[in-house]
Amino acid sequence: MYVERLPERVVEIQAAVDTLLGGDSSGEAELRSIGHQLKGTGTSFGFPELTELGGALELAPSDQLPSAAKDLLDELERVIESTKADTPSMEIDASQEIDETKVHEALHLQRFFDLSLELLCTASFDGYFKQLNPAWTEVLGWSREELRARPFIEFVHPDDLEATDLETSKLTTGAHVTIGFENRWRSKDGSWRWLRWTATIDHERQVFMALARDVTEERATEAALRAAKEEAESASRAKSTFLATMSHELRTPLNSVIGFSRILMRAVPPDSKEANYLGRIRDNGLHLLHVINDILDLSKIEAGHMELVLEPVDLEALVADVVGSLRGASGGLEFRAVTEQPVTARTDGARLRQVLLNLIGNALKFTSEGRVQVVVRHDDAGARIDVEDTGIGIPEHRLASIFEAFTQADPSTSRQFGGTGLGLSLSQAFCEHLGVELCATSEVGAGSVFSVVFPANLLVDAG
Amino acid sequence: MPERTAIAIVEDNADNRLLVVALLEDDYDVVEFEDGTSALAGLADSGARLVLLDISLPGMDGSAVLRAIRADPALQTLPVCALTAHAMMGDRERYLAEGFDGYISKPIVDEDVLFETLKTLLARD
Repeated sequence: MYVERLPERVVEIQAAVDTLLGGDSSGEAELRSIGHQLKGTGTSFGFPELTELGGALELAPSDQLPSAAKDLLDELERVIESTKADTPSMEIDASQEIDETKVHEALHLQRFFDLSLELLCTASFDGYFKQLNPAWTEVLGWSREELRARPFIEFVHPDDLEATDLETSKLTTGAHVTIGFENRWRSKDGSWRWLRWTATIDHERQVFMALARDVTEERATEAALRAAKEEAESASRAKSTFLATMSHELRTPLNSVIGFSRILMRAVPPDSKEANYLGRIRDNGLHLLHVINDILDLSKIEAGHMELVLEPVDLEALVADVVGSLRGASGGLEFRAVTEQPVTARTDGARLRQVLLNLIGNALKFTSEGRVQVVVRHDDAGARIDVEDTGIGIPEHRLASIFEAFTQADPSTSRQFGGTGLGLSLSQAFCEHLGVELCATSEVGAGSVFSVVFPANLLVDAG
Repeated sequence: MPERTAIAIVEDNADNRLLVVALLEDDYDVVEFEDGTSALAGLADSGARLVLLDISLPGMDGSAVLRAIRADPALQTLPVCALTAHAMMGDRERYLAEGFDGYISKPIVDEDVLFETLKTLLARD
């Protein structure tokens, strides 16, 4: 039994006090550690004074350690005296001839049992605990005697009784091992602690041999995480619904604004003031529609709701198609698609088309003379689509901010050139989603190059 | 003069109905319904050869009306085109997958697209 080793503790405490008084501070930690262990021993084996004095030693101010150690030593002597004639060892049958090695082994095991942070126990098939380690008292607050006084099932939460009965009866059949079973145990302060069990039985001795871990905090953390996840998902759903509703509600009135102005324009002379005014209603309606579309697309991406359809896309064909659809907006410019090397990339064709429409549309808008060309080519990183223009260009200090929402290089340009100011940030967001890079170089007065750069891992070998 | 083709519009918003009538009345007879229930009751006798169907309708929504049309032996072959302000990314694909024969988003920015869609769907049967 543990108390048999108390004389060793006496020697250890004395040695530690000597170390401390000799000026070596390691004695202090040693004393606090012994105090902590004896506090547990006192609780487990029903020596309240030992618990109290062990605790006092553990927490004593440094200058009072020697006197706290002295008090604990006195108490230890008393306990040793009082237990000398008392119970023989639980593990070692005193009547047997004692083999010293066996005693050591048994003591070693006992120490392992006592010091384990897991709750270790044995219990008889009649439903009572037999052995319990100090961790039980640490976790549940009950003394060992209190835990052994009643059938252990009485400590189990009413809602867990049925499952616990089922688990123990499965165990007693002998063909079952308990791993990960969890139930709630009433602690002395009235709260419930979740224990997670690993258990088996010893057929010969008709006992359960079990190990439990207090998983109350773990479960609380998991529950909090689950709740946070559900809340985030519900917020995300709400945002999604909000965006869809906003989209619908903002578009509906524009149907009348745009639709009726178009109808009226057919009814007035084309060059009249009225046609001019109606054209402005229509164009502003269309502008508002574009702003709404861009904002909602951007919000949808930011809310993480954009789904991509990734498939091999022939960049040459896509570029040719987009260039063809913008041909009407190119005015007198030289406007062409060039393929230096054919490239097939794994991407979402519809989103990439939106990016190209925006980049090429910008190039046409900001170039009054010269050339706009779109080039598909390989590069060191993989492949790229370059949209090259000979337009007004972008000053270097504005180049970084053009991808932010509602920013054009010069605020006055939006009046001259129109645009929602959202196109590039939307393109940037699309590109990020697609795993491609969107970048720009420019020289004022000479032109700009906007590039969509595909890393090698997105390229499909045309083989 | 050949008899004019009738087209039904199912739409709860009066402004939107008026716009569709204004756009189509030169070429078609337009039959108006304010909600799904009255459309399902009146479509068979209306002589309409095509339905322009809003999605956000009071009571039965457009998708439910479409299912009811498809389940009705007297109506099931009628071409149905969604005419809706549900026009976010993916909505077109979603409604076509639900079984609509065509999809036009609101606002109608180009009536020629509407005319083309109607012609194509009417030529189908």
